[in-house]
Amino acid sequence: MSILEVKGIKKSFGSNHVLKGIDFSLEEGEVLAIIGPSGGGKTTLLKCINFLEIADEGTITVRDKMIFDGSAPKMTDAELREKRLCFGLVFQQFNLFPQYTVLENVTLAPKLLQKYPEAEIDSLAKELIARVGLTDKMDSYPCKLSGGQQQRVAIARALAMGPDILCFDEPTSSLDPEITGEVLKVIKKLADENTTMVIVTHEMGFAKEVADKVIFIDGGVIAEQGSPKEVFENPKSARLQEFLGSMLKA
Amino acid sequence: MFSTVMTSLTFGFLKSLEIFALTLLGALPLGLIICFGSMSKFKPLKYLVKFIVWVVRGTPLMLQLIVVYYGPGLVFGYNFWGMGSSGRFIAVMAAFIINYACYFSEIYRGGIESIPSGQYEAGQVLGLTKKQIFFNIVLLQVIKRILPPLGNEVITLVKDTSLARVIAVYEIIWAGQAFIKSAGIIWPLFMTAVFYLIFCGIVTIVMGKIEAKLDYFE
Repeated sequence: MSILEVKGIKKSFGSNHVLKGIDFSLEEGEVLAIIGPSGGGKTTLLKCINFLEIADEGTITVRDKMIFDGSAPKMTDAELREKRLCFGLVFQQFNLFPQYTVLENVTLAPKLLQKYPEAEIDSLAKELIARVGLTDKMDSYPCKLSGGQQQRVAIARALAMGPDILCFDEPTSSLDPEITGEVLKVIKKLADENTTMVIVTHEMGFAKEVADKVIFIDGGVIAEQGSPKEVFENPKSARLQEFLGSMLKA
Repeated sequence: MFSTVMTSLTFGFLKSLEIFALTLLGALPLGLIICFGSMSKFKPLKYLVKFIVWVVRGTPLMLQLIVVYYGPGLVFGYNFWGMGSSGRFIAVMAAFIINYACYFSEIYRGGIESIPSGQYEAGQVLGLTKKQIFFNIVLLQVIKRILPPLGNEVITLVKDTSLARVIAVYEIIWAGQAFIKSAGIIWPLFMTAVFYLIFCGIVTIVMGKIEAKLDYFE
């Protein structure tokens, strides 16, 4: 049984067809890496999955339950909110809430939505913060943290809502090269603990190491997909070969 | 003489303070409503509100006071503000509150639009409602950002209260000027500046204290 099944997702902004029909599926505990050139539609795909954008066509099924159907009537705000919770999203720019401490950032949404009793939320949040290695920063404000630390808090914040699938939108692209490692280490650890994840990334080495599946999106379609070995060591399409070549040079 | 002048000026200044306080009390919340109107997705409302803001910000407050007070009487032949000084005071408050609410609404709008969309998106993916996102995430960040321009506007208001005298509301400038006619002395008029200066100083300190309170985040 697939935990996530995405079929025929299309999205246009005016006359700009960003996604032209994307299909993929993911098994529980798998990590999917999405690679491809900028402007190819990677981030839009992630936004469609998280309902930050609403796809024009296609379906999204989580644990055999169809949570999005492009041909069905528009969802209400309440339905949308409930369905969003299948997914967590970690942003490129972290987007922590600046006026809250690390602990408050993690507990804010569970408390407002009364997901568990307050005491449980606090202990779960502390556990998550410990997992990303920031117990000593629990009461710090985001402006006092490095980019890598902020991104780790963002990961803990996303996990606190207990998503089925955790998504990352270029989680290390705004970080200095020397601190990308600490964030990648946390994601690697989550992968080892069988967290189902969808990761949009430019870190080819990391994608190769951590992903079970890789899809290459170019021009709004999946131009190539397969295991990391197939995609990185034996790319079939000329477009992917060219892309990987340019990434190696960079 | 000095104590007579000071008593008279103090009375005048109390009226200025009353205009100041009531204007803030009315215009701060009304500004938020106007702000939401000008950001509305419903186009007719949005353009109506933008038109009103344009007129109010595009004409002198002094002229607005005169139009608001005399307008109804001239147009309808009936002064619905009521007779005497209390009627004039109500008209002053109406004009001041509308005028300042329009300025505040633009400050609010600037503040709200300056919040990066990532803050809304982060709230959305965590399953929060629009209301929760606005009140629990965005609002305090907006307040922090608008405090400096708001402080500016509040200090302008302190001195704008003097315009109330164009429709004969007895505030401090009026009180000071009265001594020119009655006693032939001009120093009471100059003295009014001391009242304004001290009060603006207090406002500056208070605004600074509020800003410092929100210094803990960026």
